Amino acid sequence: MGEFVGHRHIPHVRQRMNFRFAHGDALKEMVACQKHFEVFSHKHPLSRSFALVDAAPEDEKQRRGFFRYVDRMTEVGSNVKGHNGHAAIVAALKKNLESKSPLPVHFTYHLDPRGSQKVRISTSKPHVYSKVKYLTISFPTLHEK
Amino acid sequence: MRGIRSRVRAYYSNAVKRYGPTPLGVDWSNAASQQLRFLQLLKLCDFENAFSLNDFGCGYGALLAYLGERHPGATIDYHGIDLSPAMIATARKLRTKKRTPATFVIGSKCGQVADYSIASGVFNVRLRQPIDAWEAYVEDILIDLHASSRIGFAVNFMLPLDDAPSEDELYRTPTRRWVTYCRKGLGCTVKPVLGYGLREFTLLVRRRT
Repeated sequence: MGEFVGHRHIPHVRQRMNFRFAHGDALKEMVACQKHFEVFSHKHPLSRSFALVDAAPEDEKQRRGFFRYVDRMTEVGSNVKGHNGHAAIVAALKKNLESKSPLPVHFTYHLDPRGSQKVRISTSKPHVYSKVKYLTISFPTLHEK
Repeated sequence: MRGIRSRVRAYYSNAVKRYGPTPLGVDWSNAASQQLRFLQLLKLCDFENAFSLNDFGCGYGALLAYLGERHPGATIDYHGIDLSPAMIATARKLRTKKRTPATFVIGSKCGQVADYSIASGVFNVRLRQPIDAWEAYVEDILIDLHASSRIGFAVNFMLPLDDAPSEDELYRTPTRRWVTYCRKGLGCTVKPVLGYGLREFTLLVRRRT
């Protein structure tokens, strides 16, 4: 991630992504956008969906880097059988937002010490101060080509 | 009223200069929620027939682009109005690249009668104006939208927060306040639209037949 988006911008990107899918009003907005516009769909790239809901850096250069990074998720695997990283994220967000009880989404990153680069999709309670369950999407760290 | 208009003009001119022709440039958080508002407001219009439309507070013309994408077959005589010269300049610049006929003018009134008038988000940022002064400003705009619409007009407002007072910069209101005004003050029929995923409501206001 740090090769695509400047190090000092990364916490800010993550905060923006998590803010867009946060428990409460933000999640309701995402559900409505998904219902009317099918924001998350296999018909278009995830980078475009993130652009549409502005779950991305504000700064234009960092934004382009972030979208390059998101597009690279097609080249990595996932813990969802039969799906590459990109497809797994799209499918998870789509299914969640279209479900009867959508969960807020927690975006995070991980570095696999064994060198395996896979998107990890799970449900968890990522905040120690809250009992709210989240759909958790963890992006692998990648090197820019 | 002039003082408020002048502040509003400066606020949105700065926004579009800073963020360009993007949702942030008109103070919306993202394109999807901006379009979600358009979807509600346009429930007023009959797309089966050609119509004319005033877009008051048009900004850089995002509604026109939305109409082109979502209603490509519709015949719409579009007229965009905005207080901010910077917004209108941006809207005109974007228009030159497209073929659809449309007009963009600087103004604090619609300036012409159309079948429908729409105003999205123009009442939300009150810039620390006292509530009574801001509500007089809202009334002034509603009167003009009513006078400029043959069939009806649509507007949106932010709803109050559940557990906190309204921000000094913003205007939030319960639905009742403006439904009553449009029914009794303007003599119209009003359909409030709520529960579309945003903490706000849309009023579809029609002239009585």
